[in-house]
Amino acid sequence: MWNKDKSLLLSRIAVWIFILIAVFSVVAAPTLTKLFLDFSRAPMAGMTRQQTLLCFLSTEYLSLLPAGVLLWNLHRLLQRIGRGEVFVPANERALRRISWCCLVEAGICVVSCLYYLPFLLVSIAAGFMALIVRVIKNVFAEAIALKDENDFTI
Amino acid sequence: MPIIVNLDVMMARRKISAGELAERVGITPANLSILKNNKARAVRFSTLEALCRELECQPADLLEYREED
Repeated sequence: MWNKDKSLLLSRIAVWIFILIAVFSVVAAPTLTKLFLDFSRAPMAGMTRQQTLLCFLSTEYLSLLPAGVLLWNLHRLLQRIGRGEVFVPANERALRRISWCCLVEAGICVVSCLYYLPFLLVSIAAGFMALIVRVIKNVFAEAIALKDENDFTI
Repeated sequence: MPIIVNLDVMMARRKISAGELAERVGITPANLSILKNNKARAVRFSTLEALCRELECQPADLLEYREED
């Protein structure tokens, strides 16, 4: 029978899969990028293959920093929810950090559009995600205030 | 908060302990402590009613308004 504990477990497994993907990306990024450049015939704004490779790797490694912070915060958030600490200030702070990480990713992708235009799509997606998480953070802030009020009503 | 709960004064007058009052009123000692220490944000009418009944007093004996400095 499907229940909230199993749903939480699924979310935690998904976060760990993404953490593993991020770790794998650190190691495999050069190889994967070379493969991508070999197979894709997208024009790279008149750059040499080496320059293009360097640009892609810069974007990838720069993106891994906010991605790592985001995944760690997501992991801690799910841990707290698992302990029954849902509407607590720590979760609001975690959501705010996650939102900022999405925004930083969006910024990195916007800059990366200078050499590879499809990054614009990733940037829009990341920016939209930042907005959604920010709204959820605002909802959490209100819920924390309501819970506080309720806890101190005797 | 400019609303002061004078619960400790009434409890001293009636010579009743916090544990006993909490039990009679039907709230936890922790919640009674929150009320006594002016940490509460709100008081339910049902709680106020039970406190007045057990302490044989009026709501005004328990609550006081003091202007903030």
